[in-house]
Amino acid sequence: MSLNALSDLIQKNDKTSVQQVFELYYGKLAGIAMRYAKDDSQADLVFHSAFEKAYAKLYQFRNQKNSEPEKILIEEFIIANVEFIKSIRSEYYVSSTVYAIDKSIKNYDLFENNDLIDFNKTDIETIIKALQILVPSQRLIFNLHVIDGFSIQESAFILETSEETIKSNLEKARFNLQKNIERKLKGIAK
Amino acid sequence: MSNHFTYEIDERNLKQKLKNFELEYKPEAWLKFQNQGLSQIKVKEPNAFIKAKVHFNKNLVLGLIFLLIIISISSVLFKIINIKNPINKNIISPKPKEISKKQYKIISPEIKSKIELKPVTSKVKKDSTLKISENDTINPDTINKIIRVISKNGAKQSDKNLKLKKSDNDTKNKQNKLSEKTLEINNLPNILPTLSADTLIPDLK
Repeated sequence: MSLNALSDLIQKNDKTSVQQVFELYYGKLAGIAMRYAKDDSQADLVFHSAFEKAYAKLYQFRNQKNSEPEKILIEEFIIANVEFIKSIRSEYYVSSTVYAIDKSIKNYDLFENNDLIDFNKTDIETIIKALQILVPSQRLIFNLHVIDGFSIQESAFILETSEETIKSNLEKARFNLQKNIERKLKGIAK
Repeated sequence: MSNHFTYEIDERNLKQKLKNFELEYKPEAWLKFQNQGLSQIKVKEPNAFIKAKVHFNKNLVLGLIFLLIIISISSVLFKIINIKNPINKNIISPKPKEISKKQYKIISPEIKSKIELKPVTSKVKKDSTLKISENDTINPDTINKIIRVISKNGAKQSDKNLKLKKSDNDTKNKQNKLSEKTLEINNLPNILPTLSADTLIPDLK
């Protein structure tokens, strides 16, 4: 769909136009929600609330000529996702005791699966599962900075934390993601 | 990134994979979205009070608190201290101490030197008496002098005698007057009736 068509749909703001936008962007936005949520059920909840918020925001900018409706919709959807995850305080404020330090001792057990892992050839499902296991604070910063391309300053502003916290969480997230993928591939994790 | 950890994931590749990740559209999803709506989704959202708290700048709030404290303290001080009349009337000025003789001894000689001592001038009265020694020769002038001195002294003595006489006369007069008064009291007629034993309480008899 062209940008003009999308803006026309937003201008109408009736039930059919909302449904059209929903059908058009469902795949992409649901994929984002899967990354930010801890499981499929939470991803559903996140998607519904975030979509409504993002659509409302898009409707506010309907008269701006230079605005890019698709970009606004996705950005607002991501921010709404972050707000939703942050609002679950019992999950978000769990401190992580894991430090990004790898043990240099290697396992030389011949009976254990010691195949070399090619991280670049891992399938998308295992990556998403490994991402979902992460602590919410680490999951959010990894998604925001690494995948969605927000800068450290921007993500610090969105998450309402200091840049130092963001950096340390990002380091922990990278370490834990690699470990989670390793475990998933070895079949240790769930 | 820590030195102990070797990061083997290629983030560019990962980013590309996750960016392109999309779910297939299901018609159930739209129906679910219609049925659920935003109002039915129960999400723990932070309270408005907590939100308002976040919006306050800590430095601003602290600054305001300190300002209030300073203003309150200054107002209290302003009430206590009167700026218009800085000299308090209630303060008693110390009295200059009188230097006693003992203390005067302690005073340093420098201060003593500053104190000016005025010479006491006593007027000597000219004696009217005439002294004549054995060596003096008798001349008409000396005789005249002697006569003058005698005449002066005589006049002075006569004045003194007159004054004494006057005072004596006054006292005498006063004494006479007092004696006359006593006589008058004694010579008064005996008006009061003489009381005898018979006249006293006749009924008792």
